Amino acid sequence: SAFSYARLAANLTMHSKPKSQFLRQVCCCSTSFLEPPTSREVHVWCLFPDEVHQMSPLCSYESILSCEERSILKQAKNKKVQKEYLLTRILVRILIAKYTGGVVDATALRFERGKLGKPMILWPSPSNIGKLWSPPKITFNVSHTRSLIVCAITGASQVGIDVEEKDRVTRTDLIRFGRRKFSEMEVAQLEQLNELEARKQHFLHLWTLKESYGKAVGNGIVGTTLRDAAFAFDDFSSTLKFKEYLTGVQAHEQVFTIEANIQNDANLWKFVLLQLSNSHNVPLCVHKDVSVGDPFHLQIMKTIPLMKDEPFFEAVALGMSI
Amino acid sequence: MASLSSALQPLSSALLRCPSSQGSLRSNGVSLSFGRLQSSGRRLRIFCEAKPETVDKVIKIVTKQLAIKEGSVKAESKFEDLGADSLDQVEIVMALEEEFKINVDENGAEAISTVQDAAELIEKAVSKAV
Repeated sequence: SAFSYARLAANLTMHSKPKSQFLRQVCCCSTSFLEPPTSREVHVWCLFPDEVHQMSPLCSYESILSCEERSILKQAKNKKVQKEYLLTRILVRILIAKYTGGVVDATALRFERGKLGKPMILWPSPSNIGKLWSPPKITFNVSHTRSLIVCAITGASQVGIDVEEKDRVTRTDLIRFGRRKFSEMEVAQLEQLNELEARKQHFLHLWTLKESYGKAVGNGIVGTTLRDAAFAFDDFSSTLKFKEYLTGVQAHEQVFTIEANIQNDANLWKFVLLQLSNSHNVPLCVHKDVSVGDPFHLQIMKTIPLMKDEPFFEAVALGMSI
Repeated sequence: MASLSSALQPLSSALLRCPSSQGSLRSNGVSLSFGRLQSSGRRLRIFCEAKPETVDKVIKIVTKQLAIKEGSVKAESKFEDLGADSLDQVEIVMALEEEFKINVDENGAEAISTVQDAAELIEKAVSKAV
């Protein structure tokens, strides 16, 4: 990379409250190594495209893409879609490369589609890297909308993430939509909300949670996942301590529990619905590899790839599954 | 398939008229090696044109759903390029179902990526319903 990390570090201030070893490593500019998360940890990386407006990062970003990605980029007909695609691909490449400690170059990374079209990392064979190297045990998922791109990295075996603008407009009658596409129980909960905005928010929560499950197991919502994954929200009982289940993010004042009813899937999934900057809903669906009592831990970071990484504190958990 | 019921035309000329086929046809006019026709299923579609009125109605619904400037949406426009996400696509399909009084099955809804695709899907569903 042509960037001088030392020069960038000198120009950026250290964040005033590093909370852990991980945060101390990334407080200055952009480091070349990231400690991989455990199976009970999820690192959520956020990239706001509006913050990337200088020409030079965008030009050097293009050189990180693979040949195939570059040709897809050229074919894009819309400049905004093009930028979104570019930033999404380089975010994934740069992050994963960092989790290998720079052993695998961002451009050299290969991906493949697994079951149901799920994008997965195709690690290089030991013969290409060195017999003593083994890939970090991480899985990832990325989601993008015009104003925010998010990438989740975890040591758990599967993860799904989605992002929606909180104020997005829906044009369909939501009860009619629910009756066609959602479960009866979900329609009943929607019908109880007479205030349109509350009903829309609830609807979007259901939609994004379903999307996060669809992304965890495959490539997003397809036919049956809409109805297979049904969610109910309930008040967070005062007998439960939020921090015993999730650390690294504050609970919203009116945090709710998420009860997931998933058909044809015997796996254990942890759902967390985050809200970032009071503008975006970001659901997470993580596989619970072991059923231990330890809480899940989140690290939410904001990034401008190769320029700046910093902890992102404007986040709350709206709800989670227990 | 209802597509064979109307006047048959030579396969190659029907395909040549198709606005969204990509890449070149082989000389025998039968096998198409890339583009939309491959990605949306293994069936060989003999007719890939939808009536202009259908396309226009789809354009109107898509323009409204995505709140785009009128005139920006064309037959060959890709939903992704127009900024539609998965929720927009489902809402669009539901609006089309209501407009044309049809039912689109889940697999069909997933296969559409352009306005043209949606128009053809509608015509297929309409002819089935008849």
